[in-house]
Amino acid sequence: MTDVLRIDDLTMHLETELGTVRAVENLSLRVDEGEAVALVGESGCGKSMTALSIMRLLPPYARFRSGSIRVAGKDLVTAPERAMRQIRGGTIGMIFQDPLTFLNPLRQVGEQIAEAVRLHTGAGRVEADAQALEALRRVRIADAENVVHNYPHQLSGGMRQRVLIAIAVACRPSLLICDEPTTALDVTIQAQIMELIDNLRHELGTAVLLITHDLGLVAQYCSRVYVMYAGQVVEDAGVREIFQHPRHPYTQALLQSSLRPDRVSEDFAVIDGQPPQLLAPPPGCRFHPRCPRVFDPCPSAMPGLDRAGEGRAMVRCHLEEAHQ
Amino acid sequence: MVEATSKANGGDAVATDVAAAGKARAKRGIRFRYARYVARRLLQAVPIIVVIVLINFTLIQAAPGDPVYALIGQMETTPEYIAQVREEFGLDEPLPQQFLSYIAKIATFDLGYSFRFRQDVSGLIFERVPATFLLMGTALVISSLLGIGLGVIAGRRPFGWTDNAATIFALAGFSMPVFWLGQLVLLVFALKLPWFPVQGMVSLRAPSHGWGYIASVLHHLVLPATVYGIYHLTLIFRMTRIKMMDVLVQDFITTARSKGAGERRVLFVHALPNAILPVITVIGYNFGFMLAGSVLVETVFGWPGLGRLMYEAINARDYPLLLGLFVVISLFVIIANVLTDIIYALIDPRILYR
Ligand SMILES: Nc1ncnc2c1ncn2[C@@H]1O[C@H](COP(=O)(O)OP(=O)(O)OP(=O)(O)O)[C@@H](O)[C@H]1O
Ligand code: SF4
Ligand SMILES: [Mg+2]
Repeated sequence: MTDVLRIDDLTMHLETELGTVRAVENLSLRVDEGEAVALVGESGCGKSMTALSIMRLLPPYARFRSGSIRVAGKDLVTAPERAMRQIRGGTIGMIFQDPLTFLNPLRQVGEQIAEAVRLHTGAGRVEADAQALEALRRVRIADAENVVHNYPHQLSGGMRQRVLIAIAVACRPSLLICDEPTTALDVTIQAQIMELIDNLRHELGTAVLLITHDLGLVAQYCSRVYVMYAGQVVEDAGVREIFQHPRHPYTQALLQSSLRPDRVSEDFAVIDGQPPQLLAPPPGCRFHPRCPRVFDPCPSAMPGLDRAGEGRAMVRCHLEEAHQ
Repeated sequence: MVEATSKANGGDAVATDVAAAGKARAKRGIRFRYARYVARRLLQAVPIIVVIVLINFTLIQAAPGDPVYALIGQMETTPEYIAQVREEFGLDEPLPQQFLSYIAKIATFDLGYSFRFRQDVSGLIFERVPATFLLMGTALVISSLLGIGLGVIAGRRPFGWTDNAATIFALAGFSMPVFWLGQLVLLVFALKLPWFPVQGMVSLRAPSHGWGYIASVLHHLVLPATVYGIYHLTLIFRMTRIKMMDVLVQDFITTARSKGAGERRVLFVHALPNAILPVITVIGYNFGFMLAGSVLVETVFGWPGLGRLMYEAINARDYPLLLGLFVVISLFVIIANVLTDIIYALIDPRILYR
């Protein structure tokens, strides 16, 4: 299997007025061709910043400190802006959380899709319009001939998310990054959008990196999971492995909280304790102030991300080291 | 990836036809909505015009003493003429009747006679319109374009050095009174440095037509248009800057970037049209203030336009002329506002769907 995205040891900081936000630290992540991979973690742990690092759509005060992001033979950390423009919307498509605000209110949806086509192919206006129509059909919009000429305000939230997906996949990217694509939608629409993304993955062979809070979606649609905590990956494993034998104490807490039907929540706030501040993360293991299994080395020494047990899982925890 | 796309769809003539046909249909639909919107907007202007005329009529009626003097002014006239005016305006008839005949007169642009200038008021006013429009149009267009351009540059990198420089300049321009600035500019660039003429619209020695005439008018135009435009420019600049800062952090800009749009495209195709909407409203609604401001600028620079005429009418207590100016200027303001709304809808089609 060849990979479409390979992040190695990436560190990205935001140099804000308040200080350095350690949004992404020593993060490694891989997505193979046609694969669906999940990136999960509680609010503020750096999921979106990871995605925006890949697209290089970070705020101007963001700084890459180390590592590489390899896509289509290029390192996106150092690629010139011109190369990034070809990657964005060409090799990698991205959709976001809130479909209501992510479309330009002044332009017809067809134009907005055709723009992506024209930016990445030599297509003329007529040709691009035809491809925009085709893209709308691809995202299962009934009555696509008319919808291409609608303005965003004429469409429902679910429709707009479909349009955004159409824009993202108009040029058949090899990777589609979905940053909480269904959080803002109601439940029935959520399921439809996830089905659509999954279908597109099979039809177009587009790999999917799904950023989500919803472990149910992960179980249903993804084959591998990266669990992120405070800017770091703390566990990286197959879906079955992670649901049956979660190894990292944080992953265990996540699963437990998601199993409590009374507290199914947008967020993992159900885990005791405060999520860490990335401005001043705790020393040692970032999870130690909240970890039920904290022991001697945890508050002072940062555990490495190491292979755990017989499986393929990688875990960042001193308990694993102790086992070996 | 790219080749795959064009191959998959490139030869699909049917899809292309369907898309083109749909586009034509949608275009007709939009045109229809637009025409309906323009018609509605024009209709809405009618009652406003009636109100303006009514106000003018009330002014005549409310004038102290006999309303006939509001129509004649404080000129020495013969009793025969007074009787004639009384008859023409039906001043002996009941009020509603009078109002109707007044509307009829205004509809035919019969605004009375100015004794001060010994000329029809309407002729007098329309003679001056081109000069004012030349001055105001030049000032409005150039300062709007400059203001928007500077606003885009500054709003793109707020608090960078270009932004700071432009903002300081704008603050200075914004706080200088037109009257004072006009005199200062005259003093420096017309008297101390004899680069520009002091007064008027065209030099007496200039040819009466052709390029020589145009050159002379342009030469005369520079100082008053600059003074006239500077306040407007700073206003437009500040608004564009703020709106650009606003729009550039909005989500759909991220979408534009994530589909591979370059910086210029993001700025001018996605951000600017959204940022410029309130600016257009301000430009249009500012038109009235600018017309009012023409009194100052045209007086300082001896520019033979409506503002100067207004100044002269006030000085001479020429009521018919003043009332006529009031009607005509009000009409211009209404037209400008309607035009603004029509242009707004060209950029923001959401309005057409209300
Ligand atoms: N524009 C920004 N400027 C400064 N800090 C930011 C900015 N955006 C995010 N951060 C910080 O960076 C960290 C990572 O944020 P990020 O948006 O990646 O979290 P997330 O995992 O996507 O959360 P959520 O689930 O709420 O979307 C957070 O601590 C956040 O406070
Ligand atoms: S390293 Fe220690 S504190 Fe961190 S997760 Fe493992 S046991 Fe808990
Ligand atoms: Mg996020």
